[in-house]
Amino acid sequence: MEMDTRKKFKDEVRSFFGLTILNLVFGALVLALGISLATTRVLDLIETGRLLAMPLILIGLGIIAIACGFYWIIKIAEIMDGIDDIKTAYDKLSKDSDQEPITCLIIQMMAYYRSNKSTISKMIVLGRIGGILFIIAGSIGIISSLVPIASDGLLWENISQIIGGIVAVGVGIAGLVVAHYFEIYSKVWDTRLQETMKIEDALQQKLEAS
Amino acid sequence: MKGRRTSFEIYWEILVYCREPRTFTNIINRCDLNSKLGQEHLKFLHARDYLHIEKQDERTTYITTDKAQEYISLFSKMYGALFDDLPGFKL
Repeated sequence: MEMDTRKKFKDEVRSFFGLTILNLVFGALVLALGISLATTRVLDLIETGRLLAMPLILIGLGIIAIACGFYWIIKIAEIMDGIDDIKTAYDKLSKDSDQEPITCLIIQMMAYYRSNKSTISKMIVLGRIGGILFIIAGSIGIISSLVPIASDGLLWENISQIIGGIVAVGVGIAGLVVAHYFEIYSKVWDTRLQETMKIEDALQQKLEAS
Repeated sequence: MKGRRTSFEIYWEILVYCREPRTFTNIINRCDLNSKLGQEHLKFLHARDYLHIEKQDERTTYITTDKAQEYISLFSKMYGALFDDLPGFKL
């Protein structure tokens, strides 16, 4: 039973840590693609000297992505800091240590849930918005490169635009997947926080009986 | 320790830490408490005979009583059970 809890705790901490790293990578990709999207369209705008609706929309999407990417990286760094402390403390435990150090880490984990609950909820929403934005941007890129292919034939410029669009769609889907996994964690954590309330009632009764 | 703990979690930490005689300063440093909160928690646990106060010369130490073991065990068992349900995926 003791080893079971220990193994479950280890698996959960490591999986969540891995998920935060994936999320950090996704945040960095959002930032990079946002910069790329905005700057290339601004350069096109300067070059052509014409104000068209589509490039303006893409510049807007790029600016939103840059802002989201910055916010994302800062928030995920905060989340990583807390889970890294717990993971490091777990790694320092000796293999034959008893239940108490694990209970101590479980308390740390519960405190961590309480403190980061709202940030995780924001990450879920942000992941979905970011994912959808990138799927839209990627789809626009793909569609806008398919139109000249239909009229002028296949050009290298169109192929690179299609690849860029596919990458953006892929990043968008990855964002939705990461947000989904965060939501799974969030639901498990909410259940545990509700459970701790029941535990508190039992402990209160124990203390009152003393 | 980062994050918010409940009073019950703090009680458990104090009781486990005080298996060896500890001073007030030891306890508040280890359990990351301010003096006011530390006093309140120690008073509460002492009132329930979970902590024994020992005074030697100028030095006051706190020691967990046998009675507190029931609380420690119950808490550890119930908190361990929180990890029965896992998120259901592994990276």
